[in-house]
Amino acid sequence: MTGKMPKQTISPKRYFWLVGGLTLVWIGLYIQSKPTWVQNIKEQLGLSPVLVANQDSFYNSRIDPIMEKYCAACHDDNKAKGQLRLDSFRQLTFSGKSGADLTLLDNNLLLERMSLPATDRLAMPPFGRERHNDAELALIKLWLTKGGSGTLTEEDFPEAPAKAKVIKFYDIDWQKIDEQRLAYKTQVEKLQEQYPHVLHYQARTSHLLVLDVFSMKSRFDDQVLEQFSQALAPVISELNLANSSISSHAVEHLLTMTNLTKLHTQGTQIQKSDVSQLAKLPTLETLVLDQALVDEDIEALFAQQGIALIAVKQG
Amino acid sequence: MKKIKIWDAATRIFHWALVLNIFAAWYTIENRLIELHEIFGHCLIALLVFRVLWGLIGSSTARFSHFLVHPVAALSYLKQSLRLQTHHQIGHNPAGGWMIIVMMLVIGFQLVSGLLSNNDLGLSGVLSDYVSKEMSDTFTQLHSINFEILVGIIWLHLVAVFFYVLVKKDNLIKTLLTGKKQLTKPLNQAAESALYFAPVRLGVICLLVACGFAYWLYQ
Repeated sequence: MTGKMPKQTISPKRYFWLVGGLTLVWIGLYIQSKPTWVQNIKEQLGLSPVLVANQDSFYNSRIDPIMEKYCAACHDDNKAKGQLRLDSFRQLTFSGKSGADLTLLDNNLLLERMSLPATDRLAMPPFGRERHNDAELALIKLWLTKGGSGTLTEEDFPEAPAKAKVIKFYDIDWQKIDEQRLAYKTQVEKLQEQYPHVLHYQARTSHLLVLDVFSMKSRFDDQVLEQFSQALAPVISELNLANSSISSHAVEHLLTMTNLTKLHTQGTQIQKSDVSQLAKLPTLETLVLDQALVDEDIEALFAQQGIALIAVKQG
Repeated sequence: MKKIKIWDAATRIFHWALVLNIFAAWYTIENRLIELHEIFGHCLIALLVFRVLWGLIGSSTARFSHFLVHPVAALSYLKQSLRLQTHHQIGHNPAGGWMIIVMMLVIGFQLVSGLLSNNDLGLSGVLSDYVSKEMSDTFTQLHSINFEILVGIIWLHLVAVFFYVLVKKDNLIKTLLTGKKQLTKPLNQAAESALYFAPVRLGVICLLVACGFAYWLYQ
């Protein structure tokens, strides 16, 4: 299947020089079509300052949130539809496949596409997506009229309407809460059955527990507390022992409750000499106790630990 | 010197249909014609499936068994060919054979990633529902990256083709259009008798199977 070569007119060397040249042109054009690469190269060589909007810029405070809300889902580093990213001033400056300068007001492609009727094939955001309102579009236009800058601050835009206050509700990770509750579920159910009405979760969104012995009062003693602390010490967050029968022996059980933030001990048998030990509780924020147990040293000690001391007069 | 038939119509039509479909798929996505892009994608699936079938049961020069050699032998051929020390006459040359496999794999991945990708605007590849949204987004990205690899491979392919046309004076383009080649050296009897061209009806059956598969996916 092989034979002698036919006569050639271009030498392989010349051909590959030509191919090499064309490849270099092609690579050059390819790099040129990637403004991010060009800017990175310039910055690395010190030919250009780092292209970012100032922290206090009008862009960051007013324009970026609009882009984040309506555009970034499809125009971020993950997708960059149309090779356009709108997740920062830097990326917006690089423009997209069109190569149009998006920081100029005249013939601004971004503004044009955002101004199209929602049902237009070229409208942005595309039909069906959450769409900006006229005020937001006007704000972008205002920013562009002053040069699409990443340095001008809000003070440079006195005519811009005041920024709306946004209240954010953080997502609740129900799965995580369920998992955290699961670790103590059996113990909680058992103790709830044995001692009704004293144990409940701090909130629907929490795995931490509140132990309130009001319904048991004097029936709640050191032995019962020991039962709770042995089973649930790391997840008890609030503990109301007021008027129960616990004594100073209970302190050692209390000290195992590493997430305890609120503790009521008024009307109990805890002695003055043991109160100071409660300052060792790492997360304790509030301690309610009999006034008789409080003196200047105790006050100073708890103040030093950042624990609010509430003294209650019994009578 | 004798002019003999090297490529059957099926292989030639496949090649140029592949060129047109890749160009059309690129053009449609560049112009936001996503529905047409999907149709051309499925046409490419049909073409790829057809080529695999034809590579197994088609004409001798189209068969994998005809052009797949050990990679070391392919590299050795490439080295000699660049020095103009050897000239392949019939079918795909050993290095070109591997280029076909690489190209089929890259195009294959392009098609699979396209089937699993989405455009966030309600149009998704037909298999995208079988993976999570995150996975589909990943394949959308890979679809885009793989196209750049495909362009690189097409460039390499063109460099090789024009090396034959301009340097070796072997017009592969004309051969792939007409199917016939002017030999520089007469073939021996065994090589000539080993040439086998599958009947047209077999090509039609393979094409129907491939189109049926692509259409079934599209539905």
